[in-house]
Amino acid sequence: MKHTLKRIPIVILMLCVGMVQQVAAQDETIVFTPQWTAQAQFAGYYVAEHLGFYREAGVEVRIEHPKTTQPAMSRLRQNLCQATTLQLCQALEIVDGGIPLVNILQTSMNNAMVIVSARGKNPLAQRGARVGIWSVGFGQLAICMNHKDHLDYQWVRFAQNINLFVSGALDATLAMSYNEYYQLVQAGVEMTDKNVYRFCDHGYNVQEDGVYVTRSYYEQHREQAKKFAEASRKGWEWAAEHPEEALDIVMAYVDKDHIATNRVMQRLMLQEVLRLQVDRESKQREFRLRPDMVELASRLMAEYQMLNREITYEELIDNGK
Amino acid sequence: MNTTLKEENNELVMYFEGRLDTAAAPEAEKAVAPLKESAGRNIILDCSQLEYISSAGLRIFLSVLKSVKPKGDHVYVRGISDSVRAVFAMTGFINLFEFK
Amino acid sequence: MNRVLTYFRRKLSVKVSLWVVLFAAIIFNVALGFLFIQAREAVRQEAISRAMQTLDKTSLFVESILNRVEVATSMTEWLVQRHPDVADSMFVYSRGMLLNNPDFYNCSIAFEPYYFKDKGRYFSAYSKHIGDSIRTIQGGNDNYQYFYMDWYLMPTLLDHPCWTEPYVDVDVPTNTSEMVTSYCQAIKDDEGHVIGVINTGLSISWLSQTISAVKPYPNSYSIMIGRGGTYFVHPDTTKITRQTIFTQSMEQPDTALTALGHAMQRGEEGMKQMNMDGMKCYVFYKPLGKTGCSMAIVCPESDIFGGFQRLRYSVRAIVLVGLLLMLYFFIRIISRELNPLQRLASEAETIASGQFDARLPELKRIDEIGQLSKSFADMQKSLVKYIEELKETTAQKASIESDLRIATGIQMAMLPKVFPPYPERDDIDIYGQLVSAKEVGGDLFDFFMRDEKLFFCIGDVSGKGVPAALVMAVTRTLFRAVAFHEVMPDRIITDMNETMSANNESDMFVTLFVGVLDMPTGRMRYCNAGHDAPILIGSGAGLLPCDANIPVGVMEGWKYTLQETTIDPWTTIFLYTDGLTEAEDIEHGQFQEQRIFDVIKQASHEPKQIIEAMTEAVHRFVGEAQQSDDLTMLALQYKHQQQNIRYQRSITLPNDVQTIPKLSEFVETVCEAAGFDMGLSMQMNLAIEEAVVNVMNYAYPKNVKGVVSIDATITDKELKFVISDNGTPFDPTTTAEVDTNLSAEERSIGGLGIHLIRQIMDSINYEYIEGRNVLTLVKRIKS
Repeated sequence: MKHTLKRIPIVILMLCVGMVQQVAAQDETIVFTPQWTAQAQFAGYYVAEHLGFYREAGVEVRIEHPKTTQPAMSRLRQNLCQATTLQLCQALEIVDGGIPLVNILQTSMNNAMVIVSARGKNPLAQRGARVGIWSVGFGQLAICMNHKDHLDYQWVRFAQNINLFVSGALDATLAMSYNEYYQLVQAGVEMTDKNVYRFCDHGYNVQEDGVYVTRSYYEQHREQAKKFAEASRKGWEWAAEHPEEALDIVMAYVDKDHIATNRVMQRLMLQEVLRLQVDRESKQREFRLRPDMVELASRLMAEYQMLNREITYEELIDNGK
Repeated sequence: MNTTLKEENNELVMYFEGRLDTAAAPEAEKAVAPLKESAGRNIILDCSQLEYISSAGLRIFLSVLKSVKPKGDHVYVRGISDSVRAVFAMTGFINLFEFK
Repeated sequence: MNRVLTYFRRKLSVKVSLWVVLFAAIIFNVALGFLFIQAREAVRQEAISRAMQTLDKTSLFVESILNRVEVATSMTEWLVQRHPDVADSMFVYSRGMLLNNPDFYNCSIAFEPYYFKDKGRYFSAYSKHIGDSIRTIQGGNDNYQYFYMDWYLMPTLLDHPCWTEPYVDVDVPTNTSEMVTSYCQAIKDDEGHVIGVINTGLSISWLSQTISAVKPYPNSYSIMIGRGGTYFVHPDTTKITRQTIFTQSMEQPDTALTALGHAMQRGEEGMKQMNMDGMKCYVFYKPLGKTGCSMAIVCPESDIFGGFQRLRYSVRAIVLVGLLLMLYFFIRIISRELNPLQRLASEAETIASGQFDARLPELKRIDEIGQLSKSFADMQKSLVKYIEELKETTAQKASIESDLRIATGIQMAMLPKVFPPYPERDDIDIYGQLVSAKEVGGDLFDFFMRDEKLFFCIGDVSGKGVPAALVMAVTRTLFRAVAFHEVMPDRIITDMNETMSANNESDMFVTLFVGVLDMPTGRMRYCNAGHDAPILIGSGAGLLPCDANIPVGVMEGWKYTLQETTIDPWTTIFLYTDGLTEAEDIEHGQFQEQRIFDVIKQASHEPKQIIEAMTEAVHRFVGEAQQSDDLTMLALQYKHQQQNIRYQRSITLPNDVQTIPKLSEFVETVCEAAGFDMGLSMQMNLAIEEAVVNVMNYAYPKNVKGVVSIDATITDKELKFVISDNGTPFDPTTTAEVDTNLSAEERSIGGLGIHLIRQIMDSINYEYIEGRNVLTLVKRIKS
C-alpha cells in the first residue's frame, strides 16, 4: 500500500512532465492547414516539407488539409492549426471581425479572380445575370465591382465545383484563374477574350493568397513563424525553378488524399500560381504584402459595407512588438 | 691478087695470094675454071697467102665446090688465116668445106 | 535486270504465261476489289447497326431504372407538397422512399433556411441505406450548408427537376464511398415558391458495371461522361472522376475528341470515325436519359474489320498462290507444246552449220507446229539440191577464173614490160603502161627496134574481156610478124587487115596506129587505122595529123594511107587509147582531151613522168567509180644525140667494082683513125666492100654510070659509114636472111653480102632521103 501511494505522486509528476512536454512539443510543431484540399495551389509547402526545408530550418511542420466538415478557418479558430492560407480580402474581413492576424508570407502578388460567362456573352453586358459566387466568402472584389458598375448581378452562392455553371443553371460564374477556370476548360467550356472578365485588368489587381497566423500566436512564436515562413518561401522558390519535380511532389500529396484531379490540371494550376507570384511592376517574386493593394482592398470593401472600417497595412504585418 | 695452079700429089692445088675482093673476082673466076672442069682429082684451095676474101670470093669458092662435089671429089681449103677463117664461120662456109 | 528481261524475251512459254497470268490477275483484282468494297461496306453497316442496337438496349435499360427514381421522387414531392407543415413527417417520407426502393442510395428532403421556424436554419430529412437498415437523420448544419449544394440549387435555378452530376459520396461513420447521382426536384408551395428540394440518390456502380460490360467486339470498350465531360466509366480506372474527355486535349489538342465531347455534352446521339489512342475507331454515342450523362462505345476498326481483313488476306493469298500455280503450269504446258520447236530449231542449226542431211524430227501433229515441221523438211530437200548445183557452178567458175588468170598472164607477157627498154641508147626514151579493166583486155601496144628504126604501135580491140583479149593477141602477133619484113606502116597495116578481115567471123575490129621512126634522121612514117591521133609534145603540144582510115579487120581491100613527118629532137610522142579520154567518174562525166593537154602542160616531157602524171590525173578524176575501159598509154621521147665528131672522111667512087681497092685503102685509113686492130679493120673492109659492091652492081641500070659516096664519121662512141647513091630506090635491109645451115647444094649464090654486113656491123639502117638511097652502117667503138 505504501509503495503504491508513494508511486502516485511520481506518476502524477511524470504525467505532468509528459503533459508539459506534450504542450511544449505542441508548442514546437506548427500545424499548417492550407485553405483547400491537396492541390498545386500549395506546392511550395509540399516541396518544403518533402525536401526537408522545414527540418533544415529547425521547425516542426505538419500539413493537415481541411475536410468538408472542418473548413480551414474554423480549424484556425479552434487552434487545430496554427497557420493557414487566406486571401487578403478574407484576412481583412477576419481582422475586421475581431481576430488580429499576421501575414508571415505573402505568396500571391496578383489577383486571380475572373468572371466566365456562359454562351460566349460579355460579363459586363449581362445585367441582372445569375452569377455564381463562392459561399465560403471569396469574391469581395466582385461584389464591389457589381456595385460600381451597376450590374445588378443575382449572386448564387455555391459550395464547390462548376456543375451549376456546366448544367446551365447560371449565366456566369466567378472562377479562379488557376483553378475553376481550368476546370471549366476541362469541361469543354470555350474561353474567349469576350466571355472572360479578368479583375486584375480592370483596376482590381489586389493580391490574394498569403500565410497567416493569429497575432497572439505570432507574439509567442515569432521565431518559429519566421522560420516556417522562410522555409516555405524557399519551397516556393525551388518549385519555381523545378516545376516538373514540384509537380511530381504535388501529385504525391494529391494521390495520398485521393483527390479527384489529374496531372494536367495540376500542371496548369501550378504554372498559373507561379505566374501570379511575379509582381507586375517589378517582375520579381516579391513575397511581400503591398501596402497599396491593402489600401485599395480596404477602401473598396469599406465603401461597400463589407468592412466596418478600413484595415491598415500595419495591422497585418509584424510590427516588431 | 695472084692465083697459081699446081698439081701436087694427083691433086689440083690453087694458090691464092693477096686480096680476093670484088675487084679481083672476075679474074679469079677465070682462074678457077679448070678446077671446075677437073674430075677424079681432089681440089685444094691453098689460102696461106690469102689476106682477104669477100663475098665475091666466097661465091667463087662455092661454085667450085658445087661443080666438084657431085663428081665425088673433095675440095680442101688449106692454110686459111684467122681472119679468113672468121669470114668462113660468119657465112657458114666453115661447114661446107674440108680444111687442111 | 537485263539478263532477266532477256530470259523472258527468249522463252515464249514464259511470255505467254505471264500475259495470261497478268490478265487473270487484273480481272481478279477488279472483281475482288469490287467485292471487297461492297463486303466492307456491308460489314461496316452491320457493325454500326449492331453497336447502335447495343447502345439502344443499354440506354433503355438504364433509363428504365432512372425512370423509377424520377417517378418515386415525383410521388414523394406530391406527398410533401400536400402536407408541407409537419417537419417530422419528412423523416417518414424520406425513410419511406428507401423502404419502398431498396436499390435507391439515399434520399433527402431539405427545406429553405428557417422554413420550419422551430427547426432552426437547417432542416433536411436525410435517409440512407446502411447495410440492412436505414439511417434517418437531420443532415443540415454549419459544416453542411446544403442550400449551396448543386442538388439544391439546380432544380431551383433551372426550375425543373434534374439529375446531378455523379459524385463520390463518402460515408464517414462507415468510411465507405460510393459513386452516386441524385435526382432532385424542387418542392413548391401553392404560390409556386420553392420551399425545398427532394433529392434521391442512386448508386451508379451498377451503371458502371452495365456500361463497362458493353463490349460488342473483343477490343472495344465503353465510356460514360457527365455534363462536364468527366469520365465516370472508363477502362482506365485512373481517369474515372479525375479526368474529363477534354483533359487530354488541354495539352495535346485533338479536334476529333473535343468534337465528340461537345456532341455528347449536347446530348446528341450518333457515330464518329476518329483516332483514339492512335487507333482508328468507330465511336457510337447516345445520351442516357435526362441525366446529362452520355455513353459511348469505342470500337477499333481493326476489330470491326478484323475478320473481314483476315478474309481479305486469305482470299488474296489464295489468288496469289493460284496465279503462281497457274503461271507455273502454263509455262510447263506451253513449253511442252512448243518442245518440238526447240528440236526443230536445234536441227535447223545443224543444217545451217553445213550438215544438210540432218534428220528433222518426225512429227505426227497436224497443227501449226506440224505444218512448220513439214515445211522445214521440204526446205531442207530444196536446200540440198540447190547446194549441189551451187557447188558445180562454183567449181566451173573457179576453173574459168583459173584459166582467166593464166590468160591474163599470157596477155601481159605480150606487152613490153621492161622499161627503159633500150638503156644503152641515148636517143630514145620509152615508157608504156596498160591497166586493163577486166582480167584480160583488148588494148595493146608494142614496139621494137630493127635496123635503127623504131617500130611501134598502139591499138584497141572493140569489146572487152576474153574475146577482145584473143583478138588483141592475134593483132599483136600479126604486127610483129608483118613488121619483121615490112618497113612501111601502111603496108604493115594493110597486110594485117587482109589477114584479119579474112578470118573475122565475130565482126571484131581493132583501131590501130603504127609508126616507124628512123632513129638517125628522126623521120617518122605512120599510118592510123581509126585510132586516136597521138599527141606530139615539143615546144607546144598538138595532135599529129592523121588520115581517117577505118579500123583493122573491118573490110578486106581497104587502102590505108601512109603519112610522114619529121620528129624534132626532144619531142615526145604520146599515144593512148580511148580508155583515157573516156574514163568516167561517178556522174559518167568523161576525162576528155582537154584534160590530157592540161596534164601535159604541167608535166615534164619525160615519158614515164607524163604517163604517171596522166595516170594520177585520171585516178583523181575517176574517183570512186569503177574503171570502165582499159587505160593504155605509150610515150616515146626522141632525144638529140650529142655526138662528138672526131674524124670525118669521105670518098666517092664510080659504080665500077674495080675501084674497090681504093675503097679498101679508104676503109683502112678510117679504121686506123678509129683505133681498130688489123682483124677488125679487115672485117670493116669486108662489110663496106659488100655494101658498096651491092650499090655498084644494082643501084644503077646496066651501062649507066653512077656514083656511090662513102662518108665515114668517127665519134666517141661509134664509127659510122654512110653509103649513099642516087640510083634506084633499093632497100637492102629487106633482103631475106641467108640460111647458113644449108648444104652446099642447097646454098644460093646470092645474099651473102647483106649477111656479112649484118654479122660484122652493129647496126644497119636504110633510108631513102630526097632521092638518095642512104645506107648507114655503124660499128660501136669499144672503149
